[in-house]
Amino acid sequence: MAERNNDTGLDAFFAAAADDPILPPGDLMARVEAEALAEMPRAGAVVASQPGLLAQLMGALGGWPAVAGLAAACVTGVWIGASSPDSLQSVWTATEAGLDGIGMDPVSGFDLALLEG
Amino acid sequence: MPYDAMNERADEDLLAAYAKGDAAAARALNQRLTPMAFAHAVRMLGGDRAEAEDVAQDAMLRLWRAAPDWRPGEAKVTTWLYRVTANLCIDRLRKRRSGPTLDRVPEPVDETPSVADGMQAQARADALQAALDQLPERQKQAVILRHIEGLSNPEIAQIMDIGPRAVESLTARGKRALEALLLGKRSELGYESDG
Repeated sequence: MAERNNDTGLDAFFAAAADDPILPPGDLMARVEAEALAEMPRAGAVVASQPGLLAQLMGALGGWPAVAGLAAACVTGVWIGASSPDSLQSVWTATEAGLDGIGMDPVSGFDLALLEG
Repeated sequence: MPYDAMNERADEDLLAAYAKGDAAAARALNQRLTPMAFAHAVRMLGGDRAEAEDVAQDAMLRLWRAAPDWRPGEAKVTTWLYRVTANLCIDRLRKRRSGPTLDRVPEPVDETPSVADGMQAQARADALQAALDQLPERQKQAVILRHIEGLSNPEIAQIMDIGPRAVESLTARGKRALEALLLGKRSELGYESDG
């Protein structure tokens, strides 16, 4: 068979090529090893490089300046809420503000709408 | 290759250890895989060792960078490396097409009838390399992997991303072409006397 004859004929060439050692030069081995060590991930580096939850939240808000502003606004709000309302009345009384004259009926607007309709 | 405890471990295990920062695994993988990538590149590039060094270094660098995202069980490391190496070689072969390929192949050193057996083997290897360089790239790749590197057809199919029948077809056509190319050189290379 022609195919078998071809195999037999080429076998000597293939065997010669397979037995011909192609060894890498030493400096190639050294270069590849140096690159391997340079590229090697450091132990725990992957975890450390991930930002924490607080850092992610701070980043989303816009960094330190935004967080400082937010904290100041928060403290001011707490102070206003905690301080006595008397201090405000001493400046601007309820009578002067006309709060007594304002009707607080929550459905008054609804009544008007019915009358107009 | 020096024998040490690392030789007991599979490539995939070593690569996983490398991805966790194990320098010994890096050295073991280098010792094991760089010679393989280099030899395959030399054969694919027609004996150009300088260019093969660049290819082997590039292929290994890609392996180091792929290590952290390597998914175990998906592909053998050697299969992946053969594929990357061959693809890098084929890219370079296509770029260099402007010049005749055979000019780059060294002629057999000595073709006189009195050469020793070792020299005849070297001449045969050189003649085969010269003939391989005249084949289409995919035929050449398949024949090298099957008949020189000694890989199985299913593994070659994975490396070349084709079916096993396509591998058989490529190697059969490659061998027919090699037979035709090498036929006239048999008497010079001591083939007849060896039987």
